Amino acid sequence: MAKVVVKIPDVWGNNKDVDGTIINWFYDEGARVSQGTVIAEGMVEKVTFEVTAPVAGTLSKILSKVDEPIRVGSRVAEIESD
Amino acid sequence: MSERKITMSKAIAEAIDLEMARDPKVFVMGEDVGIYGGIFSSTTGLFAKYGGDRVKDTPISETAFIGAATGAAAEGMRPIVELMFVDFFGVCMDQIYNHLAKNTYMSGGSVKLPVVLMTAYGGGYNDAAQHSQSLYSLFAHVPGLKVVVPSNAYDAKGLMHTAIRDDNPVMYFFHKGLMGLGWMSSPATASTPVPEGDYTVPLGQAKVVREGQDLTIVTLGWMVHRSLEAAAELEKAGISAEIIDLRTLVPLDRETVIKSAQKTGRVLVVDEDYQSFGLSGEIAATVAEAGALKSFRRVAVPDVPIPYSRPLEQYVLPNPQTIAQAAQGMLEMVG
Repeated sequence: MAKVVVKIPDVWGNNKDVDGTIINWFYDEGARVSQGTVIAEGMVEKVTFEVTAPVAGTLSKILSKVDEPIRVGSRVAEIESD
Repeated sequence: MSERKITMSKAIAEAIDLEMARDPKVFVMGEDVGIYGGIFSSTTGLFAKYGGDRVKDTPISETAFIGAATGAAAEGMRPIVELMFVDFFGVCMDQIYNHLAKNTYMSGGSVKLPVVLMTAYGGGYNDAAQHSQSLYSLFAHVPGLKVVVPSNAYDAKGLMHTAIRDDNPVMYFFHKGLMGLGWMSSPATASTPVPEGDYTVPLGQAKVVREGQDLTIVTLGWMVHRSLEAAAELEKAGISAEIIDLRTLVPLDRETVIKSAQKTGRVLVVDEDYQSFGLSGEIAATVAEAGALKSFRRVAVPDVPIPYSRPLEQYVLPNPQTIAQAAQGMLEMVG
């Protein structure tokens, strides 16, 4: 058991100085997820991308709600690993 | 129930994926359904998995590719064809209402046409009069076409499985503003828990999405969510609204509507389609023929093209306030 932070991947290209947003969470807090499960969807400059679980465990906390701004490396969730 | 909560677009693509995996006769055809993944993401991921032979991008030649789907179905295939916007079915209407809808009947039942004709409908995002219509009642009017209009991800997946397995032509309408796309916000209630495996939702079975005593709201698609919002407001005013999500127009679950009308005595139809000669009139007639019509109202688009102007568009589309006002009016009227 360890707390693992889910961070936004670098899909921004050269200009990292623009906000993206979370557009969908596919699990609620407390849900079980596997490593590599797509847990959320983000969007930057009209391009959508997937956010995957880095480890298997329980999605213990969602830190960025839908429509909240995100950047590369933003901490958007916590997973209590198995 | 699955812990996974997905968008309606993913639910639709997942149903098509599962059906393509279990039946090699199923294939997809349409404008930008391949590499792009569907302009509203209804076929995302399928091209990469199944390739161009089973997920075919077509030219903008609707008469040709919908005609091709009808022909392929007559030869035993199970095509799913997408025409981006319901607004443009006019260009290939002969293929739809004279061929797809009638060939089984005119061949004395010797030809089956298991085609799913998928399209986006609806407004609310300033796309003007030619990209914002609902028009499902036009197709429900023509005998020979089943008409499906899901309101959420769970129903969307189950209804798509059923539509693909049906041996008759099924028109499958999804509202753009329910798909969960990043560039067009959806009500939170449109994404739902969805099992990863396959399951079916039967055609012709409406769902009571909210139980109530004082009036029955009959609706479908995006308007289910707006009616739920209205019902929450009405609850504060001491009015208990029952909401029926029709889910399919053909077949129409008249029994559920009549039963609820008998219980509440008041029927309010909330429809994103044009008001006259459509769904709302059909529901009124259904309830009247059953002898259950005591009090009836409708909130629909007031027989004008959908305006481009944001305030004007918002004015003509039913919204939680206009729905709640109509409901309150009914209760005051009866007293």
